[in-house]
Amino acid sequence: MGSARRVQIGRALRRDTAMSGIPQVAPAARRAALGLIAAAQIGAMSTWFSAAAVATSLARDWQCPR
Amino acid sequence: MSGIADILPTRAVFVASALVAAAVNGLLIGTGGDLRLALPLRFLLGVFLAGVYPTGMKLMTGWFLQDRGLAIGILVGALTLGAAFPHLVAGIGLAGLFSWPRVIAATSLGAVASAAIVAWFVRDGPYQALPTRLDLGWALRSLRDPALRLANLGYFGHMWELYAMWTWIPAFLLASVQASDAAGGEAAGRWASLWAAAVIGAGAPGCVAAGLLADRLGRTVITAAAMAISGSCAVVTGLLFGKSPALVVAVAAAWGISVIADSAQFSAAISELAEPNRVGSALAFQTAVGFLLTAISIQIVPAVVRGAHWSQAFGMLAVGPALGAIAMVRLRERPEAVRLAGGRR
Repeated sequence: MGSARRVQIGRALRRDTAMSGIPQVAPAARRAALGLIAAAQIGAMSTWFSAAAVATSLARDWQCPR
Repeated sequence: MSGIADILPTRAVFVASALVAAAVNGLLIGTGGDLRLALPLRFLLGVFLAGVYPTGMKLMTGWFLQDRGLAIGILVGALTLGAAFPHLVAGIGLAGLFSWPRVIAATSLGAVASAAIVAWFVRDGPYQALPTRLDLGWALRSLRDPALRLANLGYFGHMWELYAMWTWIPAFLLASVQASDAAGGEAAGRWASLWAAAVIGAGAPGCVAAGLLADRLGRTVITAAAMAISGSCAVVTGLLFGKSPALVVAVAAAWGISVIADSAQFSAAISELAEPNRVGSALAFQTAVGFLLTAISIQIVPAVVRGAHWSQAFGMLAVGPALGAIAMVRLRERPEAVRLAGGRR
């Protein structure tokens, strides 16, 4: 497919999206969702990162070979 | 978790997974150093975090139709800082000061708080598809779709490199600074940890910048470019072993930025290419295979270093992004690519 054709399709898709009645979300609501979901992700994933953070003291207490 | 992500309400999957992850993580405290208990618990933790990470990305896609690359980029950038944090703690000499049971307990409480945030404050976005029926074979069948297959191949190439780099760059920096005679003993260890924190943490702004650029210039362009840069940096970093620490850290930092910059864009691409009611399955499948691959490359690196040299080990990692970049260039040429980034491919 030629690049001119690709550009045409891309423009048409963007125009259709703008006119198709897809629900619009207020920027503040999107930012709030982004902040809350990111905070929740970091909180839950910290259970994974914590092992690396405490590796030194864990190895000492459990007498793991270094 | 692959099928569950789309048949049950997304928030419920996140909340339940985070709560079980918190419990499994907390149980580590009671194992008394018995690795026969501790290792299966860490395995289970990984299983239940699969209900958190891709599910969180699915929640995010429900809120963002435009700027989806930036939104997931911010999410992955935040997690990148989380990955860099333990090295910073070690670098400033605080690692030994923490009582590990308290840290583990605190992170379990963090996971419970995460579940509460999602249960009470996060709502499903307007672009989120409704739960659908269970179809365990969908993930494998999706590989017959050329566009999904290419986007997944790009991600797999990226993952071949990413976690192996994050895992071994601290050891590389330590060995390199010791070989250069710039520092030795405990000081070398501290410096290596601080440099590792900087190198990994530099990826966070890279994720945000790549998200901004990908939403405007196209996901295939940005992912292919990032993989070309990171693969090149992998080769050069290995070749610089033992050279001036400033030079090694500068190139490694460029690697740290480029190795994660594109990560979120593969997830955004999958969310745009998959059927809307299978986005959770598609993201879970992509993540699961990616993490399986990275487990292999993490194991291969030390074997290659022992048998040859860091340059060969890091050169081996560059194969992933090289193949991934080819996949993304081929994806760009496919008609389905107009669904990416609002037609910007």
